[in-house]
Amino acid sequence: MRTKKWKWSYMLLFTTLLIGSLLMFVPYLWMILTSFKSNSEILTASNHLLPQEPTLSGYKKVLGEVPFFRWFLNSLSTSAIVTIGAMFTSALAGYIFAKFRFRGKRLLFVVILATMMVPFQIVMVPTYIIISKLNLVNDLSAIVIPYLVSAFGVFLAKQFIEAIPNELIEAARMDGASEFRTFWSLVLPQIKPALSALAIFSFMAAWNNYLWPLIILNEESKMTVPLALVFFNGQNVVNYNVVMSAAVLIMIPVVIIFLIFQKQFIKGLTMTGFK
Amino acid sequence: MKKALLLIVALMLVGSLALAGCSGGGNATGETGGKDGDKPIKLVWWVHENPSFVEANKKLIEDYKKVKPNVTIDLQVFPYDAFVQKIRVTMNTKTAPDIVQMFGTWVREYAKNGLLEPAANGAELQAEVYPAAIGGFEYEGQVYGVPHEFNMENGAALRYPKLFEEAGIDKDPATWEELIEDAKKLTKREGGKISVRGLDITSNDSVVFYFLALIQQQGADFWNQDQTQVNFSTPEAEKAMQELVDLVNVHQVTDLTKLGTPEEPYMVFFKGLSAMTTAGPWTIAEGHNTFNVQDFDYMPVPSYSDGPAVFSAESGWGEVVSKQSANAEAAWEFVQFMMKDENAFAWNLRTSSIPANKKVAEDPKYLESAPIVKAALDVLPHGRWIGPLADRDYFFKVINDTYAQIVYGKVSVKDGLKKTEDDINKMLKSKQ
Amino acid sequence: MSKQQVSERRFIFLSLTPIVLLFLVFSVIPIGIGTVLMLFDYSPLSSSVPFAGLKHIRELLSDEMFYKSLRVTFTFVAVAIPANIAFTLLIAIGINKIRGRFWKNSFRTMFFLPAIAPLAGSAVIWTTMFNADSGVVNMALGMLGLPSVDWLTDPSTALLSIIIMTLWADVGYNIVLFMAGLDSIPESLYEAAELDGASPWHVFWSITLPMLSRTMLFVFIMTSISYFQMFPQFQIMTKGGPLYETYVLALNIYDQAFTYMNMSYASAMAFVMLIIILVLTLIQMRIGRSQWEH
Repeated sequence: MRTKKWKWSYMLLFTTLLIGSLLMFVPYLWMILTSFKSNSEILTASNHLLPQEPTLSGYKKVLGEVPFFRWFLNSLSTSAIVTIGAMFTSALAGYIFAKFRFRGKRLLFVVILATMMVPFQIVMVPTYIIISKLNLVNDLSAIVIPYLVSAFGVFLAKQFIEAIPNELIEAARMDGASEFRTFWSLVLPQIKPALSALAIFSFMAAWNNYLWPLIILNEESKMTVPLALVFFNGQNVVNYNVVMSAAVLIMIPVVIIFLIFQKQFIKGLTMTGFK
Repeated sequence: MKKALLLIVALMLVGSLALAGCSGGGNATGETGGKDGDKPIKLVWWVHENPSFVEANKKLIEDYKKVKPNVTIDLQVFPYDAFVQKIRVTMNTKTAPDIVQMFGTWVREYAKNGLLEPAANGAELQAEVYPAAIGGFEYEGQVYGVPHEFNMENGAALRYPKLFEEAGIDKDPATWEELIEDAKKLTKREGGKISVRGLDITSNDSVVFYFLALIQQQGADFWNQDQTQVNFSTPEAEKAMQELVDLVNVHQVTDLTKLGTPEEPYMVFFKGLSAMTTAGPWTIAEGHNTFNVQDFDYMPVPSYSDGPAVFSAESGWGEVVSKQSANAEAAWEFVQFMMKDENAFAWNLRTSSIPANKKVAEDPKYLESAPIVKAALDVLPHGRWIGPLADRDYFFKVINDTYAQIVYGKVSVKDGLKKTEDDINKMLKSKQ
Repeated sequence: MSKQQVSERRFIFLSLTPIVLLFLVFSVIPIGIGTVLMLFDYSPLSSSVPFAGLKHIRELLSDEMFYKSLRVTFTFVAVAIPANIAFTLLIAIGINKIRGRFWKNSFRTMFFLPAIAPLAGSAVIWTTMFNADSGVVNMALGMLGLPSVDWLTDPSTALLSIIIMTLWADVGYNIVLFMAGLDSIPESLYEAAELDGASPWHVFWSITLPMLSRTMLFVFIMTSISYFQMFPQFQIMTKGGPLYETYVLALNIYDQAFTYMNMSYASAMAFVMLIIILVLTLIQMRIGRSQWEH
């Protein structure tokens, strides 16, 4: 009798979760269906879920008339450089803060950490002013350079590197390894999980970044993916089926990469939560 | 193995960034300055997103290429909101474009700050163009740009004759009261909500223009003597605002459900969801080209009082040249090319806008080619320049916000107008 | 030894200098400028920057729109954060009870997927979904026989619509974090409780929740900091309207800075946001620390 009751509540739980997760999928379903609708269908305010005359015209417009691949490339290159840069600088700085002593170390670390607390709204205007004085407005480097260092990354790296026993490092030094070599060949491999977490975190943050590119980029050909989608939306307010086509094309690679690297994603995310 | 992978990836990325940097970078505001002739010149031209305008602009570029093959013009299009911001932020930097298709009412602020290159033949241009149109482009005796059109969002409305027939209305409304009566007959409802609007005046522009026009048609004005402050505390202003609010709350011929969405009233009209919609003539081109709707026309909106249908008009879209441009001379040459009668004619036709160029507007051939804009051309003589609004978008925004608040019952007409007056005057003062 | 020290010093100097420089130029100095910019009259169109004293602060304190933004932001946060935490905790617990690796992971993936998409992209998609005439939400309502709602244009539903969208896009993160937190609770505790005959409710309150307190604190703080600064969906879906019902502080600051060019004024508002976030975080850490000590 007890097992029956158990089964019933479990079934309920399972079904609820199933429905819930399918509901989560609805916006994507909508996006895909709408992407196959034709201009005229949208313009005549008809009210059907499924496309009445499925067409690839939206996709043709996206792939033919707009610098779609350029947007992708912009996002990919900037995000990748930011990620590699942030990983490297965070690990290096984290190593120094964890294993070395020098005057003002404590203060410097606290200052760096404190910058994490500050909302973007405080820095966006001054950073904009600085960038424009450097004449880098509307330049892709403007969305890369400020993000090459990450306070969060430094924090994370320091936490993990602290766990490395000092003896290992001393031993490497005894063996005659240079400081940099010690860092590269000994320390880095030891904190691989933290590094991959940071990599995922940085990459996603860079890829999804909207506000800063919005402020700093003017030209369509320089835009990154989220910005370009919104921009494209602004140009196709009426025939939003085209916008959905663009959205689909943008989402596909993102989803594929996620599904492949799922484990690392999840692991990385949890790691950022636990230290 | 992992290291090699990392290296490869890094190389790929450096490569792609270099690629991105190469073709996109060096935001060239003209590479080689100096005399044109044979030297290749590149001009960057910023315009806002309006499909018909963009088409007309592209055609101009094509035509100019035939005349001056060494000049390449890079057209960059921005959605309206982004456009306003981008100009504000960039005109003072080295990355400013050479030419901007700027809205007339904005020009003064940029001219004042020394960011624009004035025309060499200012007096000539002033003679060619209607004063109300070029008004906004003038500052301290110099002419900083050339308008192509009047921003006339007044005096006429898009309309479906078929819906008029079906409602049993056989003639155009001749008075404001008749207009409202007709609107009530044309409004259709479904399940308590409006399914077809009888008369839609809820666009950002219409609300302000009709508010001001209604004041002026009662014989009053909203400016003080030297046009430095506005006055909305007059009984005429109250009546004007009340009239517009009543359209939603009392006569119920339209509603505010589309406010804030990218769907503007003229788009709603072309989707078949309105019977009459006040809009500028440029929407006609949109209807024909973008929405593929042909069975509509453009009817005159009667005056509010017995007097003539006076109204405010703004300097419309026109070209200005940036002072930062390395090729200011070449840029102005292109602008002058646009002003030539046959080019202006073609541009206005394609965008169904009202020509600012006197010769084109008065040319009977223009009316022949675009009979549908007759209503707008007819009211042209009644137009007055709207005045120095300083921050045009703020001016319009405040009035629109107040309108929405009054409609939703958040504030009374009197209080709403007082606040609007205060806010606008504060803005005017700060920009003096 | 000295040679070692020398090489260490050199290493520190060479490595840290460029990094610190970047931090300085793009973090520390902007923060410094950002906090004092409100005391000056800065305009990108002119080259002079006169001192303005408390002018902008006074302006701010008498600005109705500022208070409106504060109210909207606090309303958003007060509704969205508890909703988020409640949903994610429940879903995480639910998924945790599922047997079988495959289903467990699949559910987690399905709930997490929206979180990897750019918020701006999701905002665009949801705007079309909420379209009063042709959007799928009203279509669904129609099928159920319910009247359609002007989700994004009705002042009473606009903020709610954005909250719904935000939750959809964001729950993934916290679900993953909570699931990890739940994972770390030793089975032995649950087994002991079962032996004692404790009800599921009791188990939840006395075992699950306390053991999750550290995760909970982290989730709370991160979500709060993030939600106070939320921007894309407010700008893209409603532009702050209708009637400013969705005009959060972040959007107000952006408009002031880059649409109206009142950069000094925007800085004053940003300063207020900074204070709010700092205070909130400190309060949460205080509470968290004292609870944890239990």
